[in-house]
Amino acid sequence: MQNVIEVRGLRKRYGAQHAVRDVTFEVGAGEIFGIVGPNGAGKTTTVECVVGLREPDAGTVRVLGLDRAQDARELRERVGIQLQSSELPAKLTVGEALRLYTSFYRKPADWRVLLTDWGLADKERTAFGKLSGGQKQRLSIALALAGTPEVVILDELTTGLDPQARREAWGFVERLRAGGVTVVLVSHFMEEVERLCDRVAVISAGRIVAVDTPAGLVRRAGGDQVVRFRPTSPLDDALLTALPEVRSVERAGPQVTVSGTGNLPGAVTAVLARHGIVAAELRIEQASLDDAYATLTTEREKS
Amino acid sequence: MIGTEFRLFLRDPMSTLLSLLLPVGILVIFGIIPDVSKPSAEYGGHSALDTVLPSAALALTVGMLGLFVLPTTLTLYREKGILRRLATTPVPPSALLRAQLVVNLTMMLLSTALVIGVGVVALGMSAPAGWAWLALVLTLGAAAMLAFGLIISAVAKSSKVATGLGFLAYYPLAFLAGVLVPREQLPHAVQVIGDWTPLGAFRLAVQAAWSGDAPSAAGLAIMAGYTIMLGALAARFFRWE
Repeated sequence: MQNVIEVRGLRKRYGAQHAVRDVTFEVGAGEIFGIVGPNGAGKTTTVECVVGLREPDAGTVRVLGLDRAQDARELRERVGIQLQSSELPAKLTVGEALRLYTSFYRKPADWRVLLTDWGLADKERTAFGKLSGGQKQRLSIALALAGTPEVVILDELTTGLDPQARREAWGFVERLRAGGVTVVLVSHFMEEVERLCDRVAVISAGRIVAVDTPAGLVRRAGGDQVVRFRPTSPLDDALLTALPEVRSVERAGPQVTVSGTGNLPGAVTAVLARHGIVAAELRIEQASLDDAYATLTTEREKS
Repeated sequence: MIGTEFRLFLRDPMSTLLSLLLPVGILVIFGIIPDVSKPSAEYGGHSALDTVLPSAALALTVGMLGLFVLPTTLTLYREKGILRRLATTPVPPSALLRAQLVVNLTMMLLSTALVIGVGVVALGMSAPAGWAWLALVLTLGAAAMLAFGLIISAVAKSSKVATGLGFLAYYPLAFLAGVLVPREQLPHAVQVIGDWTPLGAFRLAVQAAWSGDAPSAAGLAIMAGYTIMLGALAARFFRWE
């Protein structure tokens, strides 16, 4: 896979505070790449360096093979960005904003298509100041697409949106990918990242602590799987503890709770079947990305 | 972009009021006083209507636009991240700055045309005698006040601060220029100081141009000097975010 974004050894300091210490990652063409981390971890600084809004103290950033200083203009033609907390003049209408922004680019998108694509057709004459939070956010994404970019960076896409609007926004991002656009998604909603991202970088205190698929992160954080059931006939714990996948077996009344790793559900159900034991109320729980995220970011803070 | 900025300007009742209606309104209110159209020795045999009133109205225009409207708009654009947002597109934020300057300059010209038109047609004011001088003086005065506005935008951290600084700059400058109290009633020392301010120099030069005299070279140089000095400072200290 061809890399669209390559960041190597990125460092950025504000005064005595290190916002980003040593960040290295790459994003492949057509990927949805997530950047997650606690507030103040350096997510926004990282993407600002990627798009050339900030000058890194050290490290290299290449986007679409372009140098951010030498090919700044070319970069802006081909990279769209939705910034956290950037507004438009309150009296500018949606239609005017789209016409204005599409006029900036060499390869402009059709502003009318953007208008309908992002569900703003009935808001064409509405002033920016009169839009709801979700509508502003949609307009902000539409503006990021004004130049038919190859890479789109979305910073805190769904912060401040209600759950319904958030789900809508996710649908939009998936449509972007379907159109072949590479997406970098900065977020602190694990649900969002899990649903959308092919790979995720976890940033904590200015460093990347892990880059992996959402499932890989869960595995890597040592996330246990848990299988709970009620055996219909007596069951010897030793049958379970003998399995390499099993780490512990606990009982609470009639209920057995088995924790472990790997293909735990498969191993447990196989051994039960072999002994003719039926597992009633069988439930399988997997550690979530939320848990993995908590583990990964707190480990880093401790060390 | 210039078109967009024009529309936004006209949609803001405050900026339209300050820059277009207030100057011509002041002209009309004072212009209907019977005495103002009588020639007076105080104004070198001209009437107040042909000298102090139009120059005061124009000083009001360039002062309001340069010191209030431009800096308030620019700092608001910075505050709301509009300049920053623009920095991520192929069009640099300086294009927005240029558009703003063009819009404010055009509004100054429009307001001037309105003052002349209403004054001549409705009040019997003489049309300016030295058109070429008036054009030059207007250009220099507008440039000086817009440069003043840029330095306010450069140092103000928020649009509220910019509006405050605009007031702080406007009143002394307007006073020294004799817009608030007629210049001829000010003590001599204050008059001299006033003549060295950009707005004061502008007003005297407009007055001279109106009656067909050449404005003083010193006055023109003062306006040009302020433009260069303040413009350079603004270029040095202006922040885009």
